[in-house]
Amino acid sequence: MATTDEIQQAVESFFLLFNGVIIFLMSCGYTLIESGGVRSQNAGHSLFKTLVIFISSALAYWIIGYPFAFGGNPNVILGTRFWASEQFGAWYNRPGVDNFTNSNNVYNLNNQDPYIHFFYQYMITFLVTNIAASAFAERCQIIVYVLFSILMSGFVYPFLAHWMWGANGWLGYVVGARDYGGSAIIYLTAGVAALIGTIFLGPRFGRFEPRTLPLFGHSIPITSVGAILVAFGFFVLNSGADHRISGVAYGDRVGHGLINTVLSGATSGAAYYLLQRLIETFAKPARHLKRRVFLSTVNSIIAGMVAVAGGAVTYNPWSAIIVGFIAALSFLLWSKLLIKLHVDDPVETAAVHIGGGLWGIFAVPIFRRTVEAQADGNFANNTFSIIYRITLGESWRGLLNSLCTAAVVMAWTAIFVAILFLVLKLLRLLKVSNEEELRGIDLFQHGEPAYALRIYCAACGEQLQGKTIEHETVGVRPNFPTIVTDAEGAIVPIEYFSERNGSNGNLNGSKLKSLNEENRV
Amino acid sequence: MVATDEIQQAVESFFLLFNGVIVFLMSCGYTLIESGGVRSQNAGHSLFKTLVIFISSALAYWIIGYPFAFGGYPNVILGTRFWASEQFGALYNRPGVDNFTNSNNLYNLNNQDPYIHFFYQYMITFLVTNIAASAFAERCQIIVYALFSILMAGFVYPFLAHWMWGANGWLGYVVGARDYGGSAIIYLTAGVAALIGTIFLGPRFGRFEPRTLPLFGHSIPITSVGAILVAFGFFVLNSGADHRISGVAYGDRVGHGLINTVLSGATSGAAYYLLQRLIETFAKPTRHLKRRVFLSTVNSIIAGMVAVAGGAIIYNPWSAIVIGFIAALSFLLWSKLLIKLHVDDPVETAAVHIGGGLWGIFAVPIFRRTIEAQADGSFANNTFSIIYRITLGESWRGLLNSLCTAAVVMAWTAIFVAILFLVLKLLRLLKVSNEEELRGIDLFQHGEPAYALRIYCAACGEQLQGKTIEHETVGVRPNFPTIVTDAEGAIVPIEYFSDRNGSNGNLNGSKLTSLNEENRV
Repeated sequence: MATTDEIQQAVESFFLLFNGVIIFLMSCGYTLIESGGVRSQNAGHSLFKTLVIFISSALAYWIIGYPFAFGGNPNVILGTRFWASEQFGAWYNRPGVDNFTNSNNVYNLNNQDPYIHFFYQYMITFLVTNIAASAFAERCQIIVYVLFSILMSGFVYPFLAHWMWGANGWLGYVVGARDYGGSAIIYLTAGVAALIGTIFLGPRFGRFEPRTLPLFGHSIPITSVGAILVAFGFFVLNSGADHRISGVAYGDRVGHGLINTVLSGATSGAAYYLLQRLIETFAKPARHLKRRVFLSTVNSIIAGMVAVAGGAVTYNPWSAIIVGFIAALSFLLWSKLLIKLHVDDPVETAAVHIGGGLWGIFAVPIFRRTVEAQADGNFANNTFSIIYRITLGESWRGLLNSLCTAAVVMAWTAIFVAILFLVLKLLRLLKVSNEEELRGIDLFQHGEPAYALRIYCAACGEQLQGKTIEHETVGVRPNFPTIVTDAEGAIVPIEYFSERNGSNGNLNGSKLKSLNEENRV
Repeated sequence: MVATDEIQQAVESFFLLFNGVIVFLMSCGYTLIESGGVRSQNAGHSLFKTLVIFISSALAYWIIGYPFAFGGYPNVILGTRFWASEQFGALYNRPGVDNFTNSNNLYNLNNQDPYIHFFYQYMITFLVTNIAASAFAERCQIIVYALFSILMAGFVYPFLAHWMWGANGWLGYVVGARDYGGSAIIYLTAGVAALIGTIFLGPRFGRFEPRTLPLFGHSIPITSVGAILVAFGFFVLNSGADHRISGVAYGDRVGHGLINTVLSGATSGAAYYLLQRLIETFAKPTRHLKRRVFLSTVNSIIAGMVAVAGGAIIYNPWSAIVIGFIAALSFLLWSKLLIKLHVDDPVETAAVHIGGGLWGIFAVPIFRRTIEAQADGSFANNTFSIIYRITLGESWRGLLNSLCTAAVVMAWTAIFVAILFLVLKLLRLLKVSNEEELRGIDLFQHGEPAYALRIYCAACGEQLQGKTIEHETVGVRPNFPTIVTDAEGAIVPIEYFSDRNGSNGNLNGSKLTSLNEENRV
């Protein structure tokens, strides 16, 4: 019969499993936001790149990433065991249940199963890599995603995760900085990687040359499905920042994580929308220069959730409102700044995650409650916080810790991503040609359009472009009807075809030869 | 204070509930993959058929399916109580918590609530039926889906589930075969049913006649949303194969299920993509004969997850890499074979699930670890495995068991599905006419197109078919512009209308009367 400890372990494992699978959905939500937010000729590329990232980052994180971050025999810099999960969770190691998986040295009762912990941490790594890559939309070669995911999930992010959350990590353990839900470690890392990448890639053709012109996305419904999944994921990710739910104090923290995420996201969305309306009332931009309202409002909600992530489990709800409001300002400022600097940020990835994340890490020491959770699940009164204990000199140290965290994250990420992109740029492996960009990276890089538009129209008996019709007569089987197909394989009912073009022999050889790249939708 | 046992039961019930609801999402993911992978005129049909299957299979499984599979007083062939959940979970039956729900006789502590168990098992049945039916896309009559789901969910699948997983089932209990996550019982069953069905239906019009021509899907984003949900479901379904998470050994198995699913899926996707690239480098197919890269890569990832399902919870991670690699080869081989044989497999359902499932069931005895979980949640060293105990004659018996399982599943499924489809074919209730296929099964079978294209086009100021325009003059409000709407209610900007038709009074009565059903898309 199961003991209480075993059941507690089962509950915690299940909680981590639940968080992990939902972060997978969240990660894919970012992909869908990107896919709907780019032009239709590049929509498939955004989806395909996530497959590539999933594949490369899974292998890289398994072989070297997880060992660096949460490997055995950890020192302040890195873990040094469990390469390719070797000797990982060997069952003779079990009775002690010291899985080196504590997200924070105070809470060393995170006795989940190590493989579930791997899965959860991999999903977060996939999230970081995938968020960052969504800034490369519409103009990046496939090989870049492969190398970028290996770098991010095998090297850059695991070190940061170890320093903040791993056993003995120097930021969390030595310096004493705290980033509960990853405002800096997860989102700022992703944002900085996105920014560096997009700077090296350069703007999309037509974005700032000859003059600034927003390139509108092609599908709000797809963006919206993505936004739903991302918000869904934030509730789980922010509230599960402790990886623990058993014990009154931890239940309290999970609950605070949920309510704060809702409030901060809502405030941030509202503040941004009203501000943007106000700005447009005064500035009166021409209609084609306006911002994309839906995408930007969604992004602002996400920015609020990113900002509150750092300490969602430790804020009081009124703090979340303030955090969300400032996050909206921060996001607005960063996105305007990037446009001023002519940095092309296709779906505002960098502005959201730098704007939200950078503010979020500084919000932690300012707003956190002074009650902390203990290992046994009780509360204790031992945290310093500027709002609640402003007179204590000790509480101001938190700001320094946050500054240190932010600087380390930004420098570490920027350096390695910049090196990778510089090398790729010199090798000319970075960007596709202007022509490919305009005519559709889907077609040139992947050989298939996201929407086979001619197939839609064939269904109603119409052709978008008559000249791409391919005509086949089947000489050997006279009882078989003539079939007319277009380049994408849609069968066009012959009667419609004849109606439209007349029947006077226009299905000649010149039609056949016109099956070429340039006539594709 | 609740007893420890009660808490354990609650945790296990919650775990099963969680798995069940996510398997529902996964099932619908398959539907979305299919819907995006067919032509636009048939996209709605794919979605509607899932509603039909959901309805029919729920009733069939409730009345006879569940009793056959997990009913009371089970013998080696079938269960014999709980028809329409009668006497099911009666209060006086409870204290013993012997719900006949153990997936394996060894683990008889699966003390979940019986109704939650029903829900979970129904969702898997729905999954099997839905996967199989996705091979009938674009050409099947609605009545077929209803009869097919009653057969699959009420009879074919429940027997297989009982034989492998039910109490006293002859495959699991007498022969001693093991299929932990259902490589054979779930996916191979679905794949074989799909194959038999699609053979009887025959290829879609234009697929192999007059020559082989891939019929491309119409929307990669829809396929992508489906793929996300399917992968999401696989993480949960594979890791929850024991239906149990409490106890150290079970936590360990759940964790292994997660990591193995990720690694096998990633390896399979990578292997397939690279292989396909290689093949196309040498074979140089003409552009319109190339495979659909996105759909096939997604399918290959799924094939890897199907292959590892059989024993995801008991493989070591390195084995998952090997299994995923072979799954990619198997999928590639099966899909090429089906094309060679001129079997039309619209979204490669049969190739994925036979290719992955058939290899997956043989992988179990080869790669499984030699430690087993005990009922009390601890480990024991008592499993035979070819890789780890190659010299033991006993370990080779596992291959025979797998062979037996595969043969039984394939024969049982093929026979009954073939009988149903043969009868329907003789009654001419199977396939729609060629014209319906071309003009859109949505329109003919369901009376509504999936995409109201004219509304899209009106938004950009274009009309697809001028003759369906309806003209409305608003006599009482002279300052209000003339509004022109078409049959679907899209408002057409008047200037485009005039442009297109000239301005010489062609907005006459004849236009108005042409608003009729036969001009609808």
